[in-house]
Amino acid sequence: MEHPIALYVMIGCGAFLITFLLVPVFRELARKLDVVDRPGDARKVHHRVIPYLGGVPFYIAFLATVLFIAVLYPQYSQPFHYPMCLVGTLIVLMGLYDDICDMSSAKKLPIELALCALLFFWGFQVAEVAHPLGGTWHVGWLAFIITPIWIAGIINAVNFSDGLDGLAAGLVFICAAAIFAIAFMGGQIASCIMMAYLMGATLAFLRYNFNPASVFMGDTGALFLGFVLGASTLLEQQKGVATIALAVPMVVMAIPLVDTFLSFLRRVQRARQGRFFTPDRDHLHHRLLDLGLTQRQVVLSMYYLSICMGLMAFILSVAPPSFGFLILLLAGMAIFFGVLVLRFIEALGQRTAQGGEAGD
Amino acid sequence: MTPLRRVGLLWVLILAIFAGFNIAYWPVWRHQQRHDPKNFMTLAEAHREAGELARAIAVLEQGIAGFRPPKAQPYVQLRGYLREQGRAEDARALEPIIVFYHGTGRTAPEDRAEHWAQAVDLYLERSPAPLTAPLTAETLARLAGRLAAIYGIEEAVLAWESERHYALLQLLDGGIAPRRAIGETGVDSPVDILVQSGGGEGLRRTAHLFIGNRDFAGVGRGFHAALVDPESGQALQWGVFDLWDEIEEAHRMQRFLESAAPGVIGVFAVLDEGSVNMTPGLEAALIDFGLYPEARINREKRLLGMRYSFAAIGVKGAAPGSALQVWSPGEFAGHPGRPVNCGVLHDRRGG
Repeated sequence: MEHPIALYVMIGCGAFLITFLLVPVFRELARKLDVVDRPGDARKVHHRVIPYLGGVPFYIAFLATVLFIAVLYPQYSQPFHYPMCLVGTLIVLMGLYDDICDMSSAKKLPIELALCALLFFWGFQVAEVAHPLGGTWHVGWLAFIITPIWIAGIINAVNFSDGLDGLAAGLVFICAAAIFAIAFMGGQIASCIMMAYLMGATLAFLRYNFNPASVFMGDTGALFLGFVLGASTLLEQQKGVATIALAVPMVVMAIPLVDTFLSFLRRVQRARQGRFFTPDRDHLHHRLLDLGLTQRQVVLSMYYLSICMGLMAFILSVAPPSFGFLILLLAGMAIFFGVLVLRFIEALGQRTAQGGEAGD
Repeated sequence: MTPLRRVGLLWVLILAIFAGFNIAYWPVWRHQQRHDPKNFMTLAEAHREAGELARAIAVLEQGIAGFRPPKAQPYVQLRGYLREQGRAEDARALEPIIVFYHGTGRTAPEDRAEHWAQAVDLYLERSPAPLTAPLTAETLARLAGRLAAIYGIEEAVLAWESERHYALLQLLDGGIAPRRAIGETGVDSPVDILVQSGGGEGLRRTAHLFIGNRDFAGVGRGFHAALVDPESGQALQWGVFDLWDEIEEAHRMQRFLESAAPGVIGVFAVLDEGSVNMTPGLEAALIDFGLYPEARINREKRLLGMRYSFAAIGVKGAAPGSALQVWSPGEFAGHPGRPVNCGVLHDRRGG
């Protein structure tokens, strides 16, 4: 199948331009409406008042992309575009409420799952799950449970990574680029289109959001980007060409997903004290900051790790299944040792600090 | 301004943007939906309402040929249009498949068996079954039994006579030639051949390549293929090619097909999946056996799609489209596909 490269370029550039032009507009609107993030909370690392609403242009750029394809390139218009716009709108509304009124996770998570479950009925389904020795499992009715968990998992992974300037947008850009390359090799035009949009929009946003940030995407942007990314990984599956099984996006998204998983484990530990839905300051980027790295250093380190994972996912997608298992094993071991090394350095740091205090 | 007011204001803004998007997008989307080949039934009805009955029939026939919908509605709609056009005989020819699909939708196995028996009766009223060799009759029974097992009525169907087994397999796809002629290839098979492809998942994961009375299908997922000598009817080579995981399997199958001499008979059946790593080279090698891409997949015509059942008998060097070829989609509009059968038989009655 021949790729419409000109269309990818136009979509990427269009999303870039719309986001680039609209972010300052919404930044001003956020200032006027006092929709801002104030420093003070221990989890927050910025020291100035920063406006939210930087994520609304993502949504507008997405609608414009869908309309552009439908009017000028109807041959590439897909039945899933409209459901994504509809559910995306609901997610943006929820994100706006969260940015202004601070919605608790206890309310947010069930709504996210319900909205993602809606997509199941439009054909977004995790029907096949890759198994480590090659091939896939057909999950049958379990697809109804796995699908919303998968999309909501990606949404939260992006949302949790939105803790430092440029981190969430940069990670989404890298993931989108990796999935674009994999989908391009597999001739999957629908995925390429979505990834071109994500790359354009996030790259433009980084102009304003990279350290020192002048605007935040807020939950509006993080939830929406996560939603588009999560739903897009199911596109080719719902079309019946399951070459991008879940293993590939899982490796691409490994860093934010592992962080989300570790956060979930911490929350389970806290659940006994009734604090499951209480956020903490133990995310990967927080812990790297605590080790003394600057915000830029942490963000660039996370970019680097994500690029490595993206490359690994690309190799996984082209490698024979027998090697695929080894690559997955390698990725798992790299993540495991990464976590161990981090804990070791943290422990060492604490011991040195205690030693210093004792010496004083 | 209170936080809730600010939320309200921004919600109005977002909803206004979405409303604007809908105003621009909706007409385009409706037009596309109407002209989406998958919605051929709606399009046909629109033509009928506009007084273009012949066009409506053509749209329905093309839709049925391109999607092989595993449900009764398109056939019921076509039967109605044909009656309206005064083609009562053509309309009656659709009765067996309509009754069959009505039967598959029944929950009680007895109901299902009764509908199938009715469908077979209707078919045999119009087209008598050939008199086959006893061993071929056994094979027909096995294939009919296998089909019935998927729908939970194996016992009832196995109790039928041989001609009814033939009718059951034949009324679905018309893929069994009673005079050993391999489609329009101009070649007659020296031996009875019966092929079944289950495609799909669960009980449907089956493939049979009966050449004479021996099953040359292998074990496992993929394209099962056998090459048959056109003179002696002996199987020359056979193999299974798992096109799900590795593109190398497609290259191996291509080499296998290209090694066949002109005139050699190719017999094919898909078990579970045979499309993911289908390369243009392999597709060309299959077309060289007289096969033809007729399944509509994402605005293209392909030999088969994801989890399609697919069975074919072709001849190396035959014109594209001249082979015997039957298929059923993995699913269509929420309806799962079904196993398909094709074959060439020797009618001992002659004629």
